[in-house]
Amino acid sequence: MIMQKTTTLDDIDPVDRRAPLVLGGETFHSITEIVAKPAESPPTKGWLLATAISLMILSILGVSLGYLFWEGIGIWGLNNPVSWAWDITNFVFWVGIGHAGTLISAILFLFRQKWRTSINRFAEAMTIFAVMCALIFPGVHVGRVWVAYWLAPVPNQMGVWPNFRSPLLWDVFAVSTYFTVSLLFWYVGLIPDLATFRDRAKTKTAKIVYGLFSLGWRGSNRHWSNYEKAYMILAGLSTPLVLSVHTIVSFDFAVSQLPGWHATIFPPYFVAGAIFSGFAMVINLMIIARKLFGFENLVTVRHFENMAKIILLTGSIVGYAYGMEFFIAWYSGNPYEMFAFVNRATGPYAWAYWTMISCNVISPQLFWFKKMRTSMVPLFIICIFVNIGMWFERFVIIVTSLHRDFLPSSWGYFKPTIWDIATFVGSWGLFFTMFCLFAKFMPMVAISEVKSVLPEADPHFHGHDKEGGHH
Amino acid sequence: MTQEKNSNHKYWRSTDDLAGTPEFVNASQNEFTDKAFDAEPENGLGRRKFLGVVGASMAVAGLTSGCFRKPKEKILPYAVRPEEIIEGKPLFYATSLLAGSTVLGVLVESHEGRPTKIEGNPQHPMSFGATNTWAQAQILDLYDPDRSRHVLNANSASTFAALKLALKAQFEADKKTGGKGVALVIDATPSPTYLSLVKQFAAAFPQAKIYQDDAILQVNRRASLKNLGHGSALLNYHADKADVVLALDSDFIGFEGDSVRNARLFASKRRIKSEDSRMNRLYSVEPVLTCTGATADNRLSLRSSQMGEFILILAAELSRLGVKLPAAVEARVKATNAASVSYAKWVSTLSTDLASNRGKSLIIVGESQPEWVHSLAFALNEGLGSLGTTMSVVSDADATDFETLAQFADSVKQAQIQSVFILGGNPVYTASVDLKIPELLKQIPNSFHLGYYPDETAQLCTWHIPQCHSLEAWGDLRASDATCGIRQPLIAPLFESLSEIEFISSLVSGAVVSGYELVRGHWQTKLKSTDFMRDWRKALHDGIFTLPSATSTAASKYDFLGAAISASAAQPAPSADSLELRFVYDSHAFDGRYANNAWMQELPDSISKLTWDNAALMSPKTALALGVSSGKMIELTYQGAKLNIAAFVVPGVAEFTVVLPLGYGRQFGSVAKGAGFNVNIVRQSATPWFGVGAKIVVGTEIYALASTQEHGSMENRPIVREATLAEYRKDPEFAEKMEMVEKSKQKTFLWDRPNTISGQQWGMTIDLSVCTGCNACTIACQAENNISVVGKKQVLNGREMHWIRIDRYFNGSVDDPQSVFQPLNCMQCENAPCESVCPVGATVHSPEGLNDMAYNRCIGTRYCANNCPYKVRRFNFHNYASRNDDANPLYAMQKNPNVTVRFRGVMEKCTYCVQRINESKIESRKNGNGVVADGAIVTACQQVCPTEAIVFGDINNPESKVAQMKRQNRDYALLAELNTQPRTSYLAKIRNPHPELV
Repeated sequence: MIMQKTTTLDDIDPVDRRAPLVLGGETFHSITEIVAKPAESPPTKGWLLATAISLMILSILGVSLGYLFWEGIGIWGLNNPVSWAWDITNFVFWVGIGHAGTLISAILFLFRQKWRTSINRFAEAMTIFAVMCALIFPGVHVGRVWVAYWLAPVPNQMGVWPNFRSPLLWDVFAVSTYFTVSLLFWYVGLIPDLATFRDRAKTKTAKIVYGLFSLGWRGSNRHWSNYEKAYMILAGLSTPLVLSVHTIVSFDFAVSQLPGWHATIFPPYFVAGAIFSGFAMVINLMIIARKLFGFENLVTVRHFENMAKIILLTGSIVGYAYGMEFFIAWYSGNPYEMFAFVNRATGPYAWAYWTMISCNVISPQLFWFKKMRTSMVPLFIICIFVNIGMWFERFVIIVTSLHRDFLPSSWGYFKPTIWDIATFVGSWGLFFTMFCLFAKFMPMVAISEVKSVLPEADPHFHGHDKEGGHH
Repeated sequence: MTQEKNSNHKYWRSTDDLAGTPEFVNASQNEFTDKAFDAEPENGLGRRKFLGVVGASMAVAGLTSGCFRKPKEKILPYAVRPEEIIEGKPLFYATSLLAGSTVLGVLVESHEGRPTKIEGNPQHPMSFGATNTWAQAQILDLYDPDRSRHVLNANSASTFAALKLALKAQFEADKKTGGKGVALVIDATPSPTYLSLVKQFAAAFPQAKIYQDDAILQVNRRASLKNLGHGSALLNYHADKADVVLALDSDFIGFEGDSVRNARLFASKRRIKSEDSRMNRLYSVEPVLTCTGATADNRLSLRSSQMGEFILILAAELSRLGVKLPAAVEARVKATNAASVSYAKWVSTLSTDLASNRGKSLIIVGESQPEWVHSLAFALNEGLGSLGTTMSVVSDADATDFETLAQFADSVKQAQIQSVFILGGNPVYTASVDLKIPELLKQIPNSFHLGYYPDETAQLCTWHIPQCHSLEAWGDLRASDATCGIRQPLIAPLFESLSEIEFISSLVSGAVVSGYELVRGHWQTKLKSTDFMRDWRKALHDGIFTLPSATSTAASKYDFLGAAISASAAQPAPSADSLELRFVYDSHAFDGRYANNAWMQELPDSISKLTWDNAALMSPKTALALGVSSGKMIELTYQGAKLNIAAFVVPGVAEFTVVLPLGYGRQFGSVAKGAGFNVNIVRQSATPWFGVGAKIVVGTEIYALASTQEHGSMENRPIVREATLAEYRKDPEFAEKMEMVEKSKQKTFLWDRPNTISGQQWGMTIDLSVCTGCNACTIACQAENNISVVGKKQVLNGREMHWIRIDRYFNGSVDDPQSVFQPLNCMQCENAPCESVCPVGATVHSPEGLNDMAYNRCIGTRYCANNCPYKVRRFNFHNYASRNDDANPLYAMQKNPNVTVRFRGVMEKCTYCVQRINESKIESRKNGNGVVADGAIVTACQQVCPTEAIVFGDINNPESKVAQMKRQNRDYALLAELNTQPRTSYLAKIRNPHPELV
């Protein structure tokens, strides 16, 4: 039976006996109005301020990258044992963030999880922007950035070809495929909503631009039929990608021979971690956007609670993986491996390790309490912790493994420089700038999909029949 | 030795782990010089750089596309090819160099008239084809932009014409007075022509006074030999004939004296082929861990001031064992009580060993010990039958006794000196503080300084005259065994300058005579040959003159010795109240003469691994007692003088001893200035090497010291495998038994094994038993392979570029540590982890087993470095090569044209000197069947190694030297359990400690 305290039985969806996905009695029309409002009204002061700040942070990225290209990788704190640090940490962090979007859109779509509808657009946008941020780092972290395109298999007169044994090359394919498919998936889902914007557009520019991008959508049955098929195919294509991209990112480490990297647990552990951080980021962003743009009725507590449950699950998987790493290090009898893990927990970077443990393992356990899952302030704070923890997880894996490996003679210590920090901070500038533009000009909630979960969308809907649609 | 036994080896953490401060690197007081190959731009960005950055930023924003242009430069080919020069083929010339305190015969490589690399001359008995670090680095000195370029008059640029007028006037005046009031201060360059010219000067100006001051003078040893009745003489050691060697406060195979010769001969008795081989035994008593002490089989840490007591006890023990000692000594040592010292057992074991190896033993005393210790050691050597077998006395008739710098100071104080000529040397910097040379020099109206640098002395002299580099001028050098070599110029002076013989000739005759005339003239009179020109040409070609033996046959007189021993007062026992200062020549800067050499500055010290600085070295125990930690600034007070210096805690320093390396804290030179601390400001001329009674006040400031290896423990990993000779004989397979994973259980190839059967397959072995950690390989590699200098800040961040580094680990107890060295270059793994992870295939395997780097394909992902278990890959984080060229426009002239200069963003590493391999391959294809003969390829590190620890060759040829080495049971692969299949393998270290002292 349903024993919910916050919603009365009246509010419960009569079919699946759960809280309805749209509250406040929103109608087909009012949903369109809510979603289209930011694009159709003049920019608010809040939006202008947020955009200005984001652009300022973005300019930090520009300067950082400019100086990086001019002076070389040496502006970062990297050194001989630690050849990767914040660059790859940031890359994996952003790719991880980019996981939630496609998971929500594709996998939850295939599993017919209707609650995804209000958040999928938003999460997918986050995915696209996070992957854009991620793609910066492998591109710019190379020593000779002007020949970074050699990573791609470009036919050339010299007959040289990338080395297909290198996990870094697999990465290039995995991440670019993921980005392409995610972008397409997002775009295909946007088409009906863009057409709505086009139809409502007042200015000529808006008419032309929305018109161009809505690809002549008229909402005919034939269009809907093709759309549904295409969306289903893309969802099918994206699903394995959710698993593959972070699996392959984890190969960068797992395929090497470095103690602390060379572990078979990495693929599932990385995928779980990515979903973990991705959902945390969705919650953080959604809490803000929901408040700012008045989506309270579309994105409800039930959505947050579901996401918090996923965070609890994946956080526990991540915690299990941390424990298992230690166990295997001991069980393998490999002294290098044992040292690497003891060094993580007790060495010079112990502070980073314990930051990671407290943020990733301890803080999500609070989601066992319903209050924590359903009130916005704890949700927001815990999710911030999760994001910090997941950044540190990558830092711990990369830096603590590298700084002390086989020969103690070459052990070292990595300290970030101002440019390491500026590049990372700057990447947030890109992320937020993209988000501000998205919030202003794009439908932040999938209008057509949300309408499909209204009771009215049920073919058996008979007016305001509170007792359900049985007949 | 079994693995279990190995774990009993207590390898412990380096000093900072002891002090509990993992990072003493703190920028709060970073005194790093502004120009010394500084890798970070100071004061933000310059205007041009700013514009560049803006441009690059715009490129990022997609506003413009960046492009890199090569500078437009016109080059001129030869119109007529000079004789003997084939473009691209280097020529080698034989010459001699003074490198540290040894004379080395060298072969200098010259590319189209441009000297690029110095190698040892195999025919010269001081080098045997090897060199030390300083000889390698001198090629960079030649291209030093700070070298003197102009005649200076009162510190402003003048001309040789003006100088000639001044010298002429001086000459005329001196002629009239017979040189009254004239002082000649000369260095100790052991050049026969030079010394004969000094004699001519003395004859021409009988009233003039001649003073000599030089770090290489061996004052105490010479005085001792003179007292013993051998006249002006030097000692020459034959370590290849000694089975037991005692080094008393002497780094004779490291950086003191004829170290290259000594190391080579010493190693010849140490290189073992199997468990049945014999091995010599080295005892070392020293106040600070040196290469000699680290190599020693038995080492005793002792303050320098207690060496006298030590040798007296040794003499007493030997006397007891029936070694015949002079009566004067016998009488004195009878009273010595051996049991009173903590090392009684050590010294009695040593004396038994020495006494049972008469005629095959050798006692070597370091120069810093007082004259009577030298004399007593000589008596012991003679009693043990060393004289004439393991040691010979070589008459050095050319060297005349000159007065000392202290006497010069006295004369100036008494206003006896009106004019002074300082030839070479830099007394203003190197002199002890009590002599007050800077103040005194200012009192002399006319002062002339001939020097390679416009240094501290030049700045205080009326005239400064640029001196030629050793590779630019004619000269000659006499080695300590009386072998003479011609110093022939490789290149015309880069800047108008005079050699020391040309300058002194102008003082003698009033006009400059060419160096060639002087040297040839000297030898023509000396040799009295029937066909002088033939002998001369042969000497030029070979690099040495064959001269009759100069061994002294005089009988030693010991009558003075008893009194001399009695005069030596008892020294206080070590305690915090009787802190001892010990001055040592620095392994980089020597006495300061190599301080402006960036290669030397960046070369990690053998033991402390410090670069770019000196520091007050003390043992962990002393540091703990005094409350000092590494990097802490301390204030030393000694005999009224004060010194602020950073401390560095390093194991192996004697109790309550502070070791102060000389040669830093220079006030001159873009590289030298700002590096380290000038310890001469507390040094006293009466006791220049050690003295008790220093006080320390520990400061609060932290000074950033750049050490390249902070962790000295092996963490119980079988990295350097070591056993005693006895253990090795018991278990010849000990090295293999130490494998982390049993050989039979180690993984095999997942895919096809790379081709290792056909053709020539290159491989290397490094014999850890004979490696002394002298660093020569590191710097030879730097010179050969155009390796950039990165500067202190970059070293602090672990970005040094050396392709072959020398890892140093400590073992034993903290108070009585032992140290091992392991040179580590690219292992050229057959199953290379770096190769599989490079996404662009920039590092690939050659059919001959090399792990090749294609620099122009490398995009710099650094994945290879992450996956390299040996961490031997070096990344160009900045455009170091171009920064080096900016700091030193002449640097380009040193570059080896056969090796690519690497751009920023590119990974680099040891190539096994692939350019040398290819050169030999081309030769063998041209002249034979294309198979390179064994020994035809010599890598730079192999060539320079004084102990021949490195062997390179074709491992597919079972007869090759390297294949034979690899068949030895000591051979092991580092980290073999990772299945990297390295081509470089190590021969486990064998020490031969006395069984009683294990």
